Amino acid sequence: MTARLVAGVDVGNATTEAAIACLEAGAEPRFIGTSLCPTTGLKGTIQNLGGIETALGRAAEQVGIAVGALDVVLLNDAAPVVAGMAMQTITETVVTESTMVGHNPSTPGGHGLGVGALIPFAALDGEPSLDSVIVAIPEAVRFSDAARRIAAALERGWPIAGLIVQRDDGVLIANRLNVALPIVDEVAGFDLLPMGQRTAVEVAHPGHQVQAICNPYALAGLLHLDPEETRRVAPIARALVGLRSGVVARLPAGLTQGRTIQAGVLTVHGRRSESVDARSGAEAIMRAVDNAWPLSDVEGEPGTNAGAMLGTLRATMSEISGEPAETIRVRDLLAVDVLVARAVEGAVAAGTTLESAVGLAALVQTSHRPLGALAAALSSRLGIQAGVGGIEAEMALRGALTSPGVSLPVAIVDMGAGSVDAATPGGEGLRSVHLAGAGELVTLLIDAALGLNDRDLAEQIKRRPAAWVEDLFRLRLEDGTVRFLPEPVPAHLFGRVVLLAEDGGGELTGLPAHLHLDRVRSSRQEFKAKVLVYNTLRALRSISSYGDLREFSAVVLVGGCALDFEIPTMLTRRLAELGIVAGSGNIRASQGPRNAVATGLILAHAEGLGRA
Amino acid sequence: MNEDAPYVAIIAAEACPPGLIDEVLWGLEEDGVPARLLPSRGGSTGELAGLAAAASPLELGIALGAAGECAIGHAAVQRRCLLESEGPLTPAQARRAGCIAARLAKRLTLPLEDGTWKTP
Repeated sequence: MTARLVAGVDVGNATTEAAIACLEAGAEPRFIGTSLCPTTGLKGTIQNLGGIETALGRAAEQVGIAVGALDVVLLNDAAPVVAGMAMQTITETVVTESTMVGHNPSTPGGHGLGVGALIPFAALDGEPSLDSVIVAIPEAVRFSDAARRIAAALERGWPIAGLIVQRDDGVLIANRLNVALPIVDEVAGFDLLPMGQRTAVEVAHPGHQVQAICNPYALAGLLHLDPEETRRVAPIARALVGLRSGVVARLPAGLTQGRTIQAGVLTVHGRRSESVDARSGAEAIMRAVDNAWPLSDVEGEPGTNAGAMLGTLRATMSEISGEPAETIRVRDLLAVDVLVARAVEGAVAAGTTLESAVGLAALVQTSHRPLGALAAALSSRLGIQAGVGGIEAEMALRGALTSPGVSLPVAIVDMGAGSVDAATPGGEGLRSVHLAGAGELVTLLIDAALGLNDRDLAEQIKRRPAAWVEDLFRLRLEDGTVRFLPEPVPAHLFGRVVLLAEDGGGELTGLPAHLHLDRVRSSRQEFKAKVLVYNTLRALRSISSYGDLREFSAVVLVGGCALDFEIPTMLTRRLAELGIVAGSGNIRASQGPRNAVATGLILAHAEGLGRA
Repeated sequence: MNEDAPYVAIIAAEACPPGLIDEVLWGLEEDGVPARLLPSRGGSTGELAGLAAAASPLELGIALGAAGECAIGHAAVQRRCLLESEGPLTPAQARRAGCIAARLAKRLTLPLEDGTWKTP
């Protein structure tokens, strides 16, 4: 055999990878080029051609040849599955009219707890009331006038228990009074305050949190609520937990409507059919999935959130796979609980509360597998021989075995954008599985939990460690250490949580001001664990002979998520607890966890030539 | 008075409208950060902000010019001030200037969204 230039191409959900090797008779394949680029179109469709050409072009450029000089191009027989995601909140807090004022102004004034009828500032000109009052001070009143007239009113016998101030003047007023009153300021919806109604104002000392207004039973005592009203006030109390200050006013027509949306029922079909209330959360849904596994389909109750979620998934899958929505069958489902920060509907101030939501990832089987057509199109475009080289999982396993220190028996786990795939040699051939939910679902969950509404930023949060700009020249890193900067940080980044550059360089990306370092780190790690660690264990259990992970002594991690700065270590630690040696692969001792399938395609081809 | 007690130092030009100085002081007070007004002297607001910062135990200084323009300086940044106003401040902007200096002292994010400020 004369020397032949062979390319292997792996089309993934997010990236297309290529490898070029020189094959000569009697010699091991010599790998000479490797590349990576974004996948174009849905994996396994003719739209992949653009990405394949780009990947081949880049690898050929490394070698110093034209793509046309390749003797053969081998494509992976992509797994015929498509991943999609949806998310739906299953609780919602709605505050009727203007019940809750309280939020968390940066600088409330005074301290303490006050309760009384809410009166306008001008009412202080009249005779003092017998019962305690909360005074509402509009922005037209300067803080010095407000303080002077409050002091005078107190002297005249007004039983003032607290103040609600429209402007950011709480501390200024408190500093000019001889008595400590709780003062909540910066109230945006001041005009909506329910004058005359019984109102509770609480301000905690700096570094402390409100104690009374976040406790439904304390509120019941303060606002004279009956048990039914106390039950309805619970969502408001919950929204105030952890704040330094807040206000709750009682309305005559009832306090709140803490509404739970009709979450609906998910029915999982497979070995058996199981129905589960979506409100019971991810754990219950996943128990149903496990009990029914392998799945033939999943349905959501029409007219409910569960139905809407599945409907969204089917519509997305239909759009990307080109198959009618009614023929889409869900073959796997991953549910993850997430608390989503949402503005409290109906609150006077900008209150937020955490609502329960479920994030879903699903995998559907597609019948469209135009791999032959794709190879033919590639062949005619490039004028070279192209063909389908082998089953993806098998090729990935071959590629993974080129990692130093890896030998059979081994299991590989390929963590990509849409799915987690696992394979291991077993019996006559290969045992493999594709599971829904991987890197993209982690991004979606981070986006929702941190209230970003910015998928690109969420993706960056997933990929990069964070730090807090604690001074002009200092970054406090996640591990508590300090990094000094050669130049002062730009003013807009001061005090913010920032993302460090992936390459360890100096470029910092600022996050929204409301985010704290602990929250960013804990959300990121929580969802990596809930999606990727969970799915890896689920995948290994699926391909094990008897459902016992301990039968695997070694696991090699490959795919884009194996490049993450913390996912491999999270998995190494978790699997080590089960006595399993696990770590990211290093394909051909040079590629890290990338290029396993492309490498495997070439190795399989070379073996075939050798046998021939 | 404890000379080591922390404060943000302010230097204002003699002709600076007194109302603006009050607003800056109130901005600092509302955020709970002590401030001290130093004697007036000549110089650009950038220079005066640097001098004020050098005198401040918190290493933070605010300078107000004769027309009401403003600069905020930090002792660790000698070559330039941190922030400079685009022009004379309104009373509300002056209050915000005090708030910005206070938040610098407290290491909190800065309210810079209104376009009042530039980095020299």
